[in-house]
Amino acid sequence: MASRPSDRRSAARTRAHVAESLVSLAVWVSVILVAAVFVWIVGSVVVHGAANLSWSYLVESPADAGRAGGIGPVLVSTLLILAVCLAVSVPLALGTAILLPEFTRGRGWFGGLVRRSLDVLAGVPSIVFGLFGNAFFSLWLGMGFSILSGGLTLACMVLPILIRTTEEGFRSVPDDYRRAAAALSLSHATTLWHILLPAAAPGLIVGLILGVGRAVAETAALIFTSGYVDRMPASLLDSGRALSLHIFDLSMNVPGGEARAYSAATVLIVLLLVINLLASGMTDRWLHRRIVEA
Amino acid sequence: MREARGPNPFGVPALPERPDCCAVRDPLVQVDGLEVHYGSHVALRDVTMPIHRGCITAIVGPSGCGKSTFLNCLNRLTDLLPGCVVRGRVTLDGQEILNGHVDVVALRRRIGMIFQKPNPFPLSVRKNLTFPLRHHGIRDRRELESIVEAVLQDVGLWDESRIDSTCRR
Repeated sequence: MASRPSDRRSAARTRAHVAESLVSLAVWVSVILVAAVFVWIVGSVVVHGAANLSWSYLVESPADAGRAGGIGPVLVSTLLILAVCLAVSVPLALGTAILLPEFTRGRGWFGGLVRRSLDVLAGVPSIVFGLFGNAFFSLWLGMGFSILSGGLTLACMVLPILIRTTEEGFRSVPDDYRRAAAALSLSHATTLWHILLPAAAPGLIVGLILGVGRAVAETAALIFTSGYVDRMPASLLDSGRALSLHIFDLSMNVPGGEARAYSAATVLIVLLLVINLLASGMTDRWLHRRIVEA
Repeated sequence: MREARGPNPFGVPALPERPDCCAVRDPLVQVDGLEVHYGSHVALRDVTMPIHRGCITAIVGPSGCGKSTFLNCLNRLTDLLPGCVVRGRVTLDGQEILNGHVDVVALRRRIGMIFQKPNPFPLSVRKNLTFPLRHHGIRDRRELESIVEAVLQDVGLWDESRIDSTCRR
């Protein structure tokens, strides 16, 4: 049976319409699923953990293996480990990310090798970093179980992510700016500081947030390097228990510690949120100052 | 040129008689056998020409014939292009500029480049103008201000940029 052209056209239109609806349905379902999983995880942690939260919980020392008391020393250790990690990794990452493109221009193989190694390093399981940190920092360099060796191990872990995202940030700066800067005979340092860094800053911040997230969430690598001790650290050479390790210990090794594990997890999530907000807020302000004012 | 002008049908005032600044040929830049490759593509081959002090030199040709490439060679902006190989000799005041020991920042202070497409930095208008000046040693705030005003007046953007900045506040 021959159909009229107008019938065929409207049939095609209906088919296109159905396909359109199906695609948007699929998109919506996946979006809602992802959001639901996030809300579920965060919600259950906060619901279980909010009961114990109080100022004294944040500042007091743990008691009864963590079943009572607070997480004051744990928080301090966590922040110290993070500080050591960032103080070492951020300058190294910046330097590498700035030099890497220069190297790939002249000697292709060397830059390629560094890049390939970084990608492999980024995929190495954290427990391997932990063992390396234990062998190298704790034993060979004699730092023992300490905040210093934990922070340095985390720095090794975070470096690949930081370098690659920073490099991507620099790469996303239009070449026009580099050419314009060169044509004005600006020096490398000036170009870098005033033009490239601000333009690349969004990339740097993404890297920083990913890196901090990985570092704060890290447990396996810290078991072997910064240790379990939950006393207030007196120096960077003392052992200190990180928040993630505290959660792990409470939920796995301490019978009846689950409620407190949830509380610690809530604090960890809030800490991550605060760090992310601080990082983006600080860049905004920094960039604003650089760009708008003379 | 000047001799061939003849009667002036459009009422344009005649140029004042001045000594021909190009009467004395004094090559400031000398280009010898310049050759530029982008990978396997040859952009320029065997370019030899003098550029005289005090003269305006125009380079004319169809799009893509290598005019910009030639200009880029004169202050080593070709360094920034990946895969670009430059051979030959270019001298400025008798000094070779294509070898690796040349201080390119100093070279580019003497040979500037204005691009066909305007490419300002992502900064304010004022900062775009003052920041290179500051870099080259002009730090006096009043001097900077007067330069900014003068150049913006020259290109007819002074009023517009002022309105903009008051709106932003």
